[in-house]
Amino acid sequence: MTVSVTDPPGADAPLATGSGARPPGRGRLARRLRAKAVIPVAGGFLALLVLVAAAAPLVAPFDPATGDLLHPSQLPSGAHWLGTDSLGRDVLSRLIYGARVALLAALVAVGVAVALGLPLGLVLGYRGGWADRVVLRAAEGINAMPFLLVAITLIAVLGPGLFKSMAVVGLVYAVMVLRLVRGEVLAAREELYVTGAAVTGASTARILWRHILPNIAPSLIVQVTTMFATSIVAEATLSYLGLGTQPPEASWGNMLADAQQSAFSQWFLAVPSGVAILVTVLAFNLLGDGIRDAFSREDTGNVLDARGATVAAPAREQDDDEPAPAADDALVVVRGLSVSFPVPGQRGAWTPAVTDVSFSIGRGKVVGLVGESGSGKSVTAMALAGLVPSPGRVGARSITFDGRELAGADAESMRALRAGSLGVVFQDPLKALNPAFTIGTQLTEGLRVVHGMSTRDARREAVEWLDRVRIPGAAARLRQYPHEFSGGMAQRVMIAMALSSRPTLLIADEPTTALDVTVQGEILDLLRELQAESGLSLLIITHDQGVVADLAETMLVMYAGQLVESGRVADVLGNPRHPYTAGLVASVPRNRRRTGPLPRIGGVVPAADEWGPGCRFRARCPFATDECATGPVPLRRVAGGSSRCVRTGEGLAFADPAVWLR
Amino acid sequence: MTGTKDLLEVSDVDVTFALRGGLPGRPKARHQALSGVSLSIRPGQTVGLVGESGSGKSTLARVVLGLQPCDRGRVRLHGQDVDVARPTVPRSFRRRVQAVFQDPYGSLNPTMTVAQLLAEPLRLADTLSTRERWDRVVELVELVGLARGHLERYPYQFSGGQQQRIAIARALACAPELIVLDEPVSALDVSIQSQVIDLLEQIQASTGVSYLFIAHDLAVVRHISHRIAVMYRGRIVEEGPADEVCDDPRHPYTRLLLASILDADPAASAGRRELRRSLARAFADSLGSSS
Amino acid sequence: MLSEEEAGVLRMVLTRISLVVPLVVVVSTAAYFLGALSPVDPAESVLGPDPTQAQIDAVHAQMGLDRPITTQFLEWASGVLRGDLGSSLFSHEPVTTMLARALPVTLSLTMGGLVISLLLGIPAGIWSALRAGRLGDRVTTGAVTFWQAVPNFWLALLLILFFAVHLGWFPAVGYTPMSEGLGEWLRSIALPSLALGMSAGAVVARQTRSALIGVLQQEYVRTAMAQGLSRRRIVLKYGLKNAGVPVVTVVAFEVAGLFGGSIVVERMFSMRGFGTLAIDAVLRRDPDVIQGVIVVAAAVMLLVQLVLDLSYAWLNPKVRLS
Repeated sequence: MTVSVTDPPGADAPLATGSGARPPGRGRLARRLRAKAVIPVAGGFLALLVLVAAAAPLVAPFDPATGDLLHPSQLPSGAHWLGTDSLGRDVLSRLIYGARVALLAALVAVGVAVALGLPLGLVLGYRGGWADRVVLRAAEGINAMPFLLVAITLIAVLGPGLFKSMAVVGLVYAVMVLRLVRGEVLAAREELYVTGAAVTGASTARILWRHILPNIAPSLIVQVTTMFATSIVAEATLSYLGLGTQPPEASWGNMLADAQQSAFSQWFLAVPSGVAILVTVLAFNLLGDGIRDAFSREDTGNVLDARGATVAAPAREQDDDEPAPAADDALVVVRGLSVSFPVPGQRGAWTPAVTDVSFSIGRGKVVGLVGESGSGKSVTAMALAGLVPSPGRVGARSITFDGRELAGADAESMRALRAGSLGVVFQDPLKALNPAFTIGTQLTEGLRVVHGMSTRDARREAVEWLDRVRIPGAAARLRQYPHEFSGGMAQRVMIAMALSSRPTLLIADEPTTALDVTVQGEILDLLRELQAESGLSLLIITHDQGVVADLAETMLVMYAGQLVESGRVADVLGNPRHPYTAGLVASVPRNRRRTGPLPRIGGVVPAADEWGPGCRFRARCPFATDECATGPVPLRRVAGGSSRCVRTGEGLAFADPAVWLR
Repeated sequence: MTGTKDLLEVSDVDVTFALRGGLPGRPKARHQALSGVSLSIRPGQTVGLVGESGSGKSTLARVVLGLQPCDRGRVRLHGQDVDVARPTVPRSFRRRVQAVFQDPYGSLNPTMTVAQLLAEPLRLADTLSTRERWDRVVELVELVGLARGHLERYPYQFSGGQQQRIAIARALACAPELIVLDEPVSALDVSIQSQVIDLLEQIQASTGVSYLFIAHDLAVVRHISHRIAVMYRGRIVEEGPADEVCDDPRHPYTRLLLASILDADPAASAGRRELRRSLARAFADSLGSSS
Repeated sequence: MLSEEEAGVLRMVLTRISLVVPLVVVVSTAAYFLGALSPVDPAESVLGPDPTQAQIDAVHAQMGLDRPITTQFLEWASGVLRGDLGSSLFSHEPVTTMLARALPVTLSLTMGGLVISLLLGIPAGIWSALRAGRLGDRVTTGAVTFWQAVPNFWLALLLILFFAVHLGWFPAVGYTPMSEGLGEWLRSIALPSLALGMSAGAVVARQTRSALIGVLQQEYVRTAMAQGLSRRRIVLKYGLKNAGVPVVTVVAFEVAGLFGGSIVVERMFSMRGFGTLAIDAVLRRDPDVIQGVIVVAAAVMLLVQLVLDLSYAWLNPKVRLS
């Protein structure tokens, strides 16, 4: 008899564990519950079952205990829809009364389990201490024993019988509930809102009742529905063994025992009670699954299935100037890149993340791609590498890399590109490295598998690379795991990994954001050196203007999925040609004596459905006019770069801090 | 630096944590999170606390909030000792010292509406009638630049900047004297950061509340603080008026921090890099000689 | 001198042993004394209906049940330390012999069920994880949900009816020990293992799918893609090891479940394993036998936990140092 276990945190069940998962507020909850068809179906079936069981005396055609000994073991007929058992009793009636027993039994077991396990789990999980440790060890021990054996032992004390045996089952389940609740509370306890509540002065009781319990409730509800299912099986099992419901009372379990006796003479008897158990358990499980899915986190997509860009038709609403003809030595030329994602829950609806972006990266040049959240900068870079997670859709008029056309390339070609000419460094090195494998394995993987080096050669090369990125004691470090490295060291390892295949383009996505500021400078220095040494091109994505100023020669500014300004770094930062860039430059605090309140950009970044036909920045722009709202604003070439603003040529002082102080 | 005019005074505080691991029977390794830390905050003043990871600034925040017991030292509020050896502090302390955290969404209970979130501290203080509580809640939500209509919504329906405003409103509910802000703008977009910083300044101007402003970004801290304390590995290595610390730093670590700031000024980049490298060397040497 | 890692692993093993051994002691003691509270009197099983008090007292004296319970317990406990688990009140057979006869049955069924659950569950879980959200996944998940709801002893009955009674391919009852032929042994445990393995396999499939999906959303998978590794390599080499911990956890859990399930299924097949031993002993109240079953079951579970802990350490290097 298997007892179900809650699925581990993953795509399906990240309930209230850690700050990545959030149960929805109440409004969204009701909508989500309705959206899942399986919930009302399963719930409806169970409600019907409860009704039938409650009304058993009215619904059952015959008395379940009295048998017609003249007609034993009959197959289904008009008089007895499901036949009779070996003592001539009507199977259908016994089935209906059995439903009553099953549901009552489950209620007893689950009731005992929750009544005992929930409060104990709450208190122990929150308070901790020695009581917690002792009880936890005991609980683990009990759970490690085979459930049935424990139940049998306890029933030995109490004697057989339905309620006693289900109370025993409930006791064992209480231990499981305790462990589950305790685990959830332990995680919830670390949440900031609990700390916040403590700071506000809430008592332990209030924190448990109002803050922790509502947030762990979804997980508990799922577990409880599963427990109903397993209680029904437990009752059937114990009754089958003769330890639960005693004859002549009908239970699905002892009906199966009867069926076994008559196995050789009448085979049909085995069917009804088994099907009854199956269908009821299935209904509870589906209900639990439905509830869990209703609360689960939005899917972050599957990067394994990521595809490259498809060739897009030139659907240009705005009449962008062609960017300055890319020099013959441009390594990467992107024309008309767009990326969109499907709206969860709505078939056929897509949200654009990037619209019609064009730029180029020269050989041996460093380009900075700057933007805030919602700008689409990371997505743009990932699109270049063919790493936009499915089900995202990528389209471009053309993406050329070193002369080769990438738009329309298949997944295998993109993989080969990444293996050889393209390297990527990600933001959080401790998450981007696999915790279960040594650095050496991960570093040499590419070299061995992709470039066919022998293990020994690959290890030697790996040590050289670690030396080049200034990691001391490289040889010993190969045998260490990522969690043994500090953030800065781990990022150096990532850089080594990316560069070991000697790419011509390195994409660095927020490479220093997760690092301390004193380490940041070192990593940027390292990148600069390596870039100069090998002459590779570098595309650095960041929200930090300081990083761009330090490292890049040219920069691209993105806002709400569009490219709004480009040019040489000194020009863009010193004399911005677009109001957004100007606002950004004005609002970043500098290490200067304070002269008054900070200039700032009012409002928030608009969501895709708020973009509208005109300029996407107009709602927050102090220079906006009516013209800005009428139609798409084209990207116009300006001295040394480009800008997407109708007022660029007017000579206005976009960067005047006074403008941004209102 | 001590005086009865101080709102909050932290004196010579030590905090150590036991580390997991080791064989049974052997003493466990300990990590010194804070050693001999002293800090004071006056009414209406903003003290900025700067440090990188491992500096102990978050631990100090927890000590000030009464969430972290100390092994040694004292914490005084208006001259009165607060018992920080025990994990719980009196309600009166709670009302006067509040907090705003780094993760705006994480600090708000997702199952409570904005109105409920703002009303909770008022409920716990239990000094107002229901009507008065509601009035105060409306007052708070408008104070931070949100609308009355927002009161019935849930946190997930707001942007990061708006969520942080809600957190600030909640902190202000019982008119505290000190608000501890632990990296309040680090998780926000640059264009939103300045909005929130301005809001904080306005609130200080109108209510006279003090701030302990903790961040790793020295430029932001300089802008908002009257005084700055720099932390490194559990110690305060430099402390003084904000402009003095930033324009004329004395400790090698402070110098290194300042030099590591990346101003968006490409022309100065090369010079600054060279300066940073030499300061990093100097700092590493100073560590070597003192240990 | 031990490295930090080796010390961590040693510490883990010692902790596990130091916890379970006292637990087994506590459980055995509790069971012994709880059992004494049982309303069932072994004397009645021997004497038949309507015994007189004198007869009952005589049988009690004969069985040694007239002594204080603590004395009986201490005698049993000292016996255990000498390796003697006592004997049955009814058959007078040494408990060790009875256990030795029953253990192969239960172990065969448990292991058989485990093998089938892994053979079916893990590939199914991987397959549906890789097609998450698409038709292949939905179909597999539907099947898994269905099989998880099928009670294992009912499935056993159906299998008997079809494969044994109707087709005659497998025996309907009885266990053939390995000593009488490997083929015969396999034939006798095939149906019960299948019955046990199907629902356990469903749980394993579900957990594998869930764990693998979780892993595939981690950032290190994106890094592996950025290195230019092939999909197959990423899933097989990295994905599986990273998904290992939750899968191993559920497998260990399932072993306990299979052990318990074998108790019921052996009844369906009229095999004489632990289940029969335990149930008969409980219904008649045969204290030494009950104790013996508990002690051995606990020992087996300890072993399983130990293997589990060691595999955690291999799968998740962070564990070694903590």
